[in-house]
Amino acid sequence: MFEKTLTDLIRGIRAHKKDEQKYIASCLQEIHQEVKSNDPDIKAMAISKLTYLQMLGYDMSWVSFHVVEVMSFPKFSHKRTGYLAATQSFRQDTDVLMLTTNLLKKDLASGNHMEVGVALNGLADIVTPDLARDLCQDLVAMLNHSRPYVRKKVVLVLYKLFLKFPEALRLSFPRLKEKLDDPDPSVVSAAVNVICELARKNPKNYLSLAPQLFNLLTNSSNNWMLIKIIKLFGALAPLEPRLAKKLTPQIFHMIENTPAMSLLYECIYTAIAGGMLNSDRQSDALAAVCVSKLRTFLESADQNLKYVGLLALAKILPTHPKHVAEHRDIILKCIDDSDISIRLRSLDLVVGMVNKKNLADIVKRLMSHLLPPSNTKNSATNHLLPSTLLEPAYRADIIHRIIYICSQNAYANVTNFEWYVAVLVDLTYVAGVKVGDLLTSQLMDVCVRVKSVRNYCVKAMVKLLSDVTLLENCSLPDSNAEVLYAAAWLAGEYCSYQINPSDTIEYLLQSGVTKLSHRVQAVYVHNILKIYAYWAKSLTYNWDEDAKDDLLRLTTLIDEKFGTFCSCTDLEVQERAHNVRAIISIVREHLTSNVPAQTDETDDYVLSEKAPTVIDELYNLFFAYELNPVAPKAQKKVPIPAGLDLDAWINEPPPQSESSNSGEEESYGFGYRQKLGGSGDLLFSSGSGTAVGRRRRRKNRQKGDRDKGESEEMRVQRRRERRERMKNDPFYIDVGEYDNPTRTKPESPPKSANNEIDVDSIPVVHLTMDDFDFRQKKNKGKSKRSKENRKKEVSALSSLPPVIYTDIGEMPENATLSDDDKDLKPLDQKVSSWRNPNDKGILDIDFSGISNVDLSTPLTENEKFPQTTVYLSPEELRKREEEKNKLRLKEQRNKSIITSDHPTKVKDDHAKSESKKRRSKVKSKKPSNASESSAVTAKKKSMSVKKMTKGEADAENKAKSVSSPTSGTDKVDENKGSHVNEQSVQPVKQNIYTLISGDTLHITYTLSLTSNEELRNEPPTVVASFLIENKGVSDDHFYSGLALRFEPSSDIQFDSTLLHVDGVLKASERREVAVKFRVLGIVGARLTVNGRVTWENNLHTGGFSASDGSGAEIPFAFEIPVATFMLHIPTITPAQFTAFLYKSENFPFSGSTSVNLTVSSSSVEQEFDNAIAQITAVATGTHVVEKVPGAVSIYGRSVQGYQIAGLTKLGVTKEEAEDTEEVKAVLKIELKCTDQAFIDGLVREIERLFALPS
Amino acid sequence: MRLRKWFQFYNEKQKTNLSTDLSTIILGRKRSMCNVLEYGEHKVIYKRYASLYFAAGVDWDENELYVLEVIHRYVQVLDEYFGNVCELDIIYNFEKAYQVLDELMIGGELQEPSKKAVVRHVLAFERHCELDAVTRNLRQADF
Repeated sequence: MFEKTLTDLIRGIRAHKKDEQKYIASCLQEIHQEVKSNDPDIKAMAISKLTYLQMLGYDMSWVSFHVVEVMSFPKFSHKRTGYLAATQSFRQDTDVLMLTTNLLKKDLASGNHMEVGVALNGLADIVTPDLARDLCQDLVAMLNHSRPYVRKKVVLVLYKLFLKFPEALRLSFPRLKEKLDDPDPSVVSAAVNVICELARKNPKNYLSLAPQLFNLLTNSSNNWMLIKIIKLFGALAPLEPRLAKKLTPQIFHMIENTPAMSLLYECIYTAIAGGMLNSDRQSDALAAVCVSKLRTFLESADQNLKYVGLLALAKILPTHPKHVAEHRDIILKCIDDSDISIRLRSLDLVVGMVNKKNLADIVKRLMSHLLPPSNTKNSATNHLLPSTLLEPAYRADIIHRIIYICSQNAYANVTNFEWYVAVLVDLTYVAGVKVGDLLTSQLMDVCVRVKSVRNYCVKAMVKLLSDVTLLENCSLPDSNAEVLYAAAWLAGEYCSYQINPSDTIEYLLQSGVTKLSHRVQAVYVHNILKIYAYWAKSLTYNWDEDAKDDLLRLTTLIDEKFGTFCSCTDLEVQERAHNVRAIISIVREHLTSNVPAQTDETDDYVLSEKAPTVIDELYNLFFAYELNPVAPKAQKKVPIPAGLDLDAWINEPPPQSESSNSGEEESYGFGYRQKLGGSGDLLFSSGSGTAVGRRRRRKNRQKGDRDKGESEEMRVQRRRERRERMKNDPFYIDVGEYDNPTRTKPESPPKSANNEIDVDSIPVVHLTMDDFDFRQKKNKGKSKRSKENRKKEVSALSSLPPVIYTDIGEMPENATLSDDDKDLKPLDQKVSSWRNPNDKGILDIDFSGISNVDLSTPLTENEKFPQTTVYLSPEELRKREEEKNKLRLKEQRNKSIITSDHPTKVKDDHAKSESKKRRSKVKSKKPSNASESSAVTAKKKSMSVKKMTKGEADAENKAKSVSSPTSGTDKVDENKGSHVNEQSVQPVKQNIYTLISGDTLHITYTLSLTSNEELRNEPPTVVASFLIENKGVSDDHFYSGLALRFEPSSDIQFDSTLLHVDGVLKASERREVAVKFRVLGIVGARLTVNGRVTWENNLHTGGFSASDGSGAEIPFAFEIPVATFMLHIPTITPAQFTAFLYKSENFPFSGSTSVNLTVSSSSVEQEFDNAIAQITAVATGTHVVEKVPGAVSIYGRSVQGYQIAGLTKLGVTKEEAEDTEEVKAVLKIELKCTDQAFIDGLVREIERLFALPS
Repeated sequence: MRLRKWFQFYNEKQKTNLSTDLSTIILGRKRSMCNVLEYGEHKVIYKRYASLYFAAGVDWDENELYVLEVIHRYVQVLDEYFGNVCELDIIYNFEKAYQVLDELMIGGELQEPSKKAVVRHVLAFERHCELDAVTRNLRQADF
């Protein structure tokens, strides 16, 4: 009695602060010993200590089995310890949980309400789907328990059950509903809690409870429950407008009168969330009261009230922005609160409160959060900056919000775009997180849409390009060097706004550029050429020697620097660079060759030479048209060409359309997508952007130019050929004769002004579907607002330079410019839109099951609780368990003394029902011929030395019926009595198999190992003993020269392949012969012994029926069952078993199978025992370690040293349809082993053992 | 970490991560800050009593003030049960502290709002256990 108590342990840990780990390690070692103790007190104490250590982070999963043991101890204090340990350490996948079913049933049925309470507490935490299914009926029955203490717990535990086993909800809901009228208030409160939780998942099921709940609401004074009821109504009200109306006065009353802040807040929150503040006058008053109450929250010194106040205001904002706006002052104060929770919530509000006037101020405040503390002196309120402000997630959040509030509603709130561009540029530098892509798309979007800002923007972009530090840091993750993508593109596209384009080209050619991402480099390359083209063109207006020298110098520079781009590993960059180089070299050739490009004699201003015309051409290549956004409704306005039926099949769909994700996309039909996707800068990646039109047109034009050389006939010819080729291609949809007119129409590029539109350039043809859908959605509702705003802006804000937007965007030519699109849906304003949708926590639980339960339909007849009749009713079970308990504990203690118990196990089960016998006969694989069955009956009579009951022998038969496909002779052994001593030394019953069973000649055999020791390094040797019996009755029936011949194989090596039976085998005589063989093959795979029986003369000519074969030899084959290799070892104790299992690396392989038994309900447990006996003794050669109701653990070891541990679990479902007592039982067997092949073999054995006749 | 109870299943790694993560964040917060911490899909509501923090993770739509009340109720019950509770009481009697929690809530839902009732139940448990101990001692004395 020197074990440490829990207090000792805790004291010890506190005393060993320095070497805590070491101390705990030594304690754990003691505990390892203690849990194996037979003294319940010591065991419970060990578990209790482990529970404490578990809390400190030490594993206790290895002791789960003992935890269940302690849970099952009769003493309450032990039980409590066990349950606590279980709730703390069990997981859903803990193996032993399935052993707890009956234990829980017993404890739930206990007469002591405290035991019931402990069990309920425990169940709430450890419930699994299996437990929920098995226990739900008991729990529902307990809803009428005499003690309110138990009732309230049951109500709450039921909720946990529903989560795991949603079917139970439908079945038990009527009973649960009754609990709302329970005389005990705590039970009512519990029921409200549960229904509140359920209603949050699927409110419509609970609308019918509204009157009852309303009654509670008006009569109760329990604030705890009132909060829940109100929350519950919050879930119900949106479904039933009348309910909202009815609730409003009540809520109003509570808001005005309750002193409890939590209740007040719940009322306000529910009023908002429940949609009670909508429309009518009464609710508007309510809204006003809510908001004014919330203001007191915000003004309160209590930070919690501030937080919840902001939270509620954010909810009210979408419906009552005006009410909220009144309190802007106090909300803005909260942005600078030192508390991140409050700050984030006030940001929510701010995002919704932004308007034109306060945008700049709010953005400034937000920006100040991003700046390092030293730079924030100007903002006085920002006196302390917690470290959280520097967290990347927070910074990214702020930046997303800034961009969101500025860009929402198509930049409706931005009045000064130069300011906005400046903000974006600033963000590039201060971000400190990776937001480059977002900034890039914003910059491009703004600049393309807003003409007036282009001048400013381009200059800012050039400045960005010239920034060396940005280039240097571009490899850092938070450098936001992606912005250079926008910078380069904008500088190139709008280079007319540049003051000194040649400088820009030099910036673009800085040596650091190669460090940029390839995507950006590609844009660089392309835009260098664009700027170059523009600049060269501008030089031609004042063409002279200097200009020529300048141009030549820059041309040479580009040519030199492009070496690095040309050798870029990225194909896109490389290809573009080569193109540019080629073009540049042409220009240079023209410049240096001194060829007077155009000697225009008539020109009276004599130039020494004129600028090469190639410069003009180069310019025209890029700047023929201005880039404009496509109008949001452009797609809809595209007139459908006459004769085009969009719903008709262009071609009959192929019968089996395969998805084409292969290289077939290269084919003509998909060509557009390919081209656009690859062209990098030609597509906007921005989510808020409009599609861009001009590029497409240019593309087409280029294509047109390229095609110019070919004659129309050639093209038609080529197309025809191609169509012919594609006809049989399943991946290609033949466009047939309906070739899209917009595609085939000869192109005539317009020469004139910006906004002229031709059908060919209608972007719809070029946009990929996914791109388009997205934009269409985003743009819905935008244009209307923006246009209205635009008008107002121009008039109201004349002090600012007028913002010039590009026109509403490009439209197809016969589109009407009207805004009457009725189908425009309002933009779904989700404040959460800036939140990362992938931000899914690990804490997500799947409630889908429970929310799919429908309670509105009445229960049908066949909806009943799953019947688990193998288990008795809890009361009966309790009685029985109490009787058994003492016995079992005693048994458990004595178990280690018993060395070999499985034969006794088998003997325990004597009584056998008649039905079982009948069935097992059917199950055993019997040959169909009549002689065989007559033989069986004959032999039954001859059974003499029987030690087992008939039924048991039947069971044995099943196992022994080893089918042998080669011989076609099925072996059924009935001859239990002929059991004789084998060569094996163990006094253990052996399985006797039949080799040949004829009318006269009958051979059986047994298999055994030569040694009961583990032989790790040599192949196991098996002795096969044959009992040869002549069953003939007359003297004529004799065999002479009888012999067994074996065929050696690579797997099996016989010490002699021939076994002679000396002399003559006379009638009623039996002989024994034995052969040894070594098993070299893999045990577990099918090891088959092949051979034949031969004899020289059989004077009795009519002795064999045709089915026995008429020759002087009979071939045979039998398989060596895996169980043969099992050693006979002493029974291990449960503690050893757990210890083995604990080292899970011992059992890396596992296998499982399940077996169906059909038995009568009265004998389920017996059948279970029988089945276990068969599995252990016959199929696997293992023994039972421990048996608890409904489950058994087994263990065994093989001659090769393999260990087998298993768990067998019984599940029973009653067959409702039949009125017989038949039940279906499913036996689940899970085995773990150290060898894969071995376990496969064992599983196969078990399956064969229970195999039903086919 | 003195006590922790999980009302949903997590694996050990998640438990450890959550515990260490939350304790660093909560300990880093100033007293002037509010008692709500936004933590992924959940909110953590905590409250400090002397040197002990009590924290509870709840859904986003849970009433924060209600949760604070529940925490407060737990502390009240502990106080009543131990008589001016201190950290050591909880360390040395962690089983009892769990018992109190179990009597106050089941599966994360409040089951008994009445302080007195909770204490009464827990005391009844204790008496029952003591009875066990007495009979055990008697049996040992018999030997």
